[in-house]
Amino acid sequence: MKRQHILPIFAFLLMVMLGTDTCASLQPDAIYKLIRRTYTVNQDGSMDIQYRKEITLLRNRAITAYADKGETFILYNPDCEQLTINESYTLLPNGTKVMTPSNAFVEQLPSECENCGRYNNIREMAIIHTGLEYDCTIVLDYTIHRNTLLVSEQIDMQMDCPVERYEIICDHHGRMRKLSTPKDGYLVTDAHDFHWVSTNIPQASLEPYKVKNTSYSLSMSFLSMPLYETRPSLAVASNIVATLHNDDTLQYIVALRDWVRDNIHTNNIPLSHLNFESSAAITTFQSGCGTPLDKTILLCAMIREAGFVAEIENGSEGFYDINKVNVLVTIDGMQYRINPNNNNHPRVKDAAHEEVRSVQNIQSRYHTQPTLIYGNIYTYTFPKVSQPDIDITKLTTKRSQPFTIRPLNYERIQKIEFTDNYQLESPIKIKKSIADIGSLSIEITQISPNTIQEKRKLVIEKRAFEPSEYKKLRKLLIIWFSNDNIILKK
Amino acid sequence: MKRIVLTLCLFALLPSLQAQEMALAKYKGYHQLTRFDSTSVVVEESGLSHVSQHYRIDMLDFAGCRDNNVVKMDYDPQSAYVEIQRVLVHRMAEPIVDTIVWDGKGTIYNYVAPARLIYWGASQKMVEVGHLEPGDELEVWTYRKGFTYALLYDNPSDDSRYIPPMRGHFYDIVPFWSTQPVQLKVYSVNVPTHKNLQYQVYNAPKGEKICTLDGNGKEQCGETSPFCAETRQEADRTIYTFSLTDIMPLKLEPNALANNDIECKLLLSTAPDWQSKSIWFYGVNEDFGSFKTTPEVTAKVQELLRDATSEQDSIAILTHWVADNIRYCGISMGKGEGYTLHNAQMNFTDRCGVCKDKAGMLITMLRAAGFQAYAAMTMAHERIENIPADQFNHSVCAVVHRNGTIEMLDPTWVPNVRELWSSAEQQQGYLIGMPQGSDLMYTPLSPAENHYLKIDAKSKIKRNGDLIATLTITAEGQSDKAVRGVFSGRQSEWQSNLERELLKIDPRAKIESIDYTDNDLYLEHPVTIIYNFTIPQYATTVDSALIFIPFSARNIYARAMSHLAIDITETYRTQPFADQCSRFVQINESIRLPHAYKRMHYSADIMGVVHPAANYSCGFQLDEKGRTLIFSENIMLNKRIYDASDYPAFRCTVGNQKAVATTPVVLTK
Repeated sequence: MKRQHILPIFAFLLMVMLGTDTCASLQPDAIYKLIRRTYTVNQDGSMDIQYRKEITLLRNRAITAYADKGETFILYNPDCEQLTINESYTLLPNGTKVMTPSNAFVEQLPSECENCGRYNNIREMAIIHTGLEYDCTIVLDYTIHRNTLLVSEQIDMQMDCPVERYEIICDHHGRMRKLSTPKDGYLVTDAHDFHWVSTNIPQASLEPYKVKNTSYSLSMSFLSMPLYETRPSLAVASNIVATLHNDDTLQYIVALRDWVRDNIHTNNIPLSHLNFESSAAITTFQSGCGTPLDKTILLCAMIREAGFVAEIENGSEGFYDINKVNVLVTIDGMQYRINPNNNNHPRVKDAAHEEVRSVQNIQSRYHTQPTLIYGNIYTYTFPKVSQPDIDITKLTTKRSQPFTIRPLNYERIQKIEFTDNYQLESPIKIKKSIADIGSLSIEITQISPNTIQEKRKLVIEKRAFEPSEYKKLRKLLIIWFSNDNIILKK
Repeated sequence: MKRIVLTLCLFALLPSLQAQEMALAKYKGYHQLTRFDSTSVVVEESGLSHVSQHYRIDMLDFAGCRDNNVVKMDYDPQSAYVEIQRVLVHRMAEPIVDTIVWDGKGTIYNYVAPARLIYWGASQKMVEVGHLEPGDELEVWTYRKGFTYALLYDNPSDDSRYIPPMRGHFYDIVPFWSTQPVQLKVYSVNVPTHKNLQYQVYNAPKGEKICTLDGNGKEQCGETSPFCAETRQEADRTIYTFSLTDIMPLKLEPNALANNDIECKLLLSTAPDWQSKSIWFYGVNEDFGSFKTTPEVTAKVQELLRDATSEQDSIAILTHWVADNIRYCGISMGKGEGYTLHNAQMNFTDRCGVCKDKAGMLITMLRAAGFQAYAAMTMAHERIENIPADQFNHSVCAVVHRNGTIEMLDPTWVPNVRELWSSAEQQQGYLIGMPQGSDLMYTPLSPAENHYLKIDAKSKIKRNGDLIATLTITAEGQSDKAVRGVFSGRQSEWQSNLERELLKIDPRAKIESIDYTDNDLYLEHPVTIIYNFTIPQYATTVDSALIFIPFSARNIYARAMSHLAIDITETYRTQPFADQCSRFVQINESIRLPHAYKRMHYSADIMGVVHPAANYSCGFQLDEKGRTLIFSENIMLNKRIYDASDYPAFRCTVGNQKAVATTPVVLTK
């Protein structure tokens, strides 16, 4: 008993001697003193977007190349955008200004535009901030002048380190079409048409399985979303379409999707830099490259070439992820969604909500042998087949953000048939139900002299869990993932 | 005209069409087949080289089509010039040839290539070939002059910027291997005879075994090589031609070394020896003034060394200051970028640079502190052969101690590492630039004990099977670096990262506390992490027998045991292999038992290993009263690069550790 007490005391003393950090203050790597975006609509229908950031680096991690604070990358399309650097310098703690030298501004091809001739004109300005040391402040101010008003912005003001003040200013002269302001922050009444300020924004959490935090998301749009269409078919792709033919219609569609996904290089260029324009299917096909939207349009044309009815599923006006634009293909009177930018199986258009709920009923039978550990004692671990998609090792004790998981109704039955007869030493029968969280049952029983049966069922009732509920959910999942080992006797 | 002749010769060398068709079966599963790849180099008196390449690739499947739908050439405009001269597509479906580029005419994109970390303006020329179908063939002609790195010249005009830094000399490293099949590869170099080009072929493939009877009627056997080397004289020039047919991709064994280390390559150089290279490297940086201190740098050195206690302490302080304060990020100094180390003024103001600039900053600071220090070149993770070609991809620093010994320092590889020379670079070649010249040298093995990972546990198993444990992790050297990986993220994530290491072993673990050394003070002491935790129902009781696996044996902190990730499924291997570093893992656990037990039973077949490359020992001991079980395990891995002959010992050692991690101990009364 006494020894039990001595050990922690010794450990504590050891840590003190080693200078340990038992209650380390959680200092962020850096802190944004100010981020300001200013949108000005000009008389001629063009727009100026001015961006300013002032970031103070606090820890070595922010200074080294392994973080992303030392460089700034500005993507722009010289065909419709002009970039002006207003000022760039590093303010040292002693007040010295280290101006960013001219060789630290490098105009290069963005990696998003590689291997694609028609996007080769787009540029990225890499600004390498110099003179970085502890407590220095990087100041960068630049303006992008856009020839058009085709701007749709979704701004997440929450960054990977805290932001003291985030300002969004817009002088739109009544030409803003849509606006959605965040929960946290306030409107400033001044000479500007719109002036939003959010202060003391905490750094974004890196906790896994987190719910998207929209408290600091601001959206605004100055355009009507274009409608995308494609030509009836694509004769030049007829050979490939014929090569991929499959009598199973869904498999045929998936094969066409896979071909586009795997053989057309993806150029992940934000469409705002392309004035929301897309390429014709034949251009994408012949060049072997395109944006996610270009690939969607190509897939649509190839599906039509294969003789199916297909169309682009255009989103509603406003803000949506262009990568998620789907092809709608009609098979036996049903419309399926398919997208060449992911691996998802085609889904029935109107059944989306039902399908999200994962229902599995897996039955399997194995012929195997347990492992001898001593005398007539054996051990056996059940195969981890089709586990729910959760990494239990990532579920740490504490949680500050809401937790999200796909609602589950998961059932699994495994029958393990051994070549000899073994007696299950410790049958398992666990049933646990937690209100508003879910339930599980695990039953491991002997069903014949040489067969052990494992029956498992896990039900997760909802999608999002508050940090206060997380502990209970975690407990449930630990039970689920832990009881997969049995002891047998011959 | 010459080019046409060469092309005709190449076609003559190819097998007949019918044979090719039959051979296609051999290429099943590959994406493309290079019919031929011919490079012709003409070296001028100045060392300037003109390189013409002509190749033809057959698309075997859609992936091959995708991979070849652009033709790209990388170059640094400061020191090289490139042309994509002709690009043709021979269509399989129709008897036509599509001309994409002819005599440099066509759409050729020329741009600064996408870059991260090194912003020197490296450029690319690109031609979009367009849609290809399996069976189509792509034929390309290119031209290049110049070299990879730029250096100092006073009067740049015409081609002078393309003349190599070691003026008058030429070198090349030509891989005769490929990740896709190649039917014929030819490399030819035309060089002034007096330059005494030396060359060596490494890992040439073996051909057929041929046996003949000698004069005494005895059978004499030898092996032919499909690698051909020919030399011919034309006036005052010598033309060397090297060729290899039927290059098939080598199936690499797990953790194999770089392809260049184990596959066929050709090295050529006109430099007489490493001494001359060393003298040149010394001179080029001294002449530029790379290491000239400034008042600000000198003041910083004085500030840093104010409390230094010894010569070694001073070296360590300066090395780690550069490692941690000059961030790895390269901006171009313009003319001279490449082999020339940025000067102290630029490095100290910018506080950034690539490896050579970090080395330059350290050399300047060491010299400002009164040390002799020199720049050196090395080749990270690839062997340097004896031919003095530029087989370098990394720059480091050499400091001379007062007693004359030389110590290698690498400020690029030691941020957050308690070493001055990263032992991840042991068994690695380097060349120091010195006024009197120096030879190629290799870094020695770093003793495994310098990279210990110690796992000490005191645990107790309760009557109900619950485990109560205190686990202490300590590490040094490269193992210290690997353990510190848990602190590589944001500070707010540290606690979660630490907890996950435990949850990976058993998600049921309930953590009472985790204490750890201050990572910001990593130079002051090796990392120590102490966990206090419990695991419910950790041990099982069957017929009064207690069954459990010692927790410490279960490979916690596998992040610091990269050997466990090496695939040891195969019994034998033919290729050498690499781990991250030499390593010593020492595990000790004292387990207090719930009852007195008389016997211990263990089903795993564990064999001790005693070998120069790897050692393994493991033991369990029940105390006299049968209330405490002592478990210990020692894993000693003595190298970073292992020969294939070391594999059985390595495999047995790693296999033992994996077996112990999963085999329960059974204690009976």
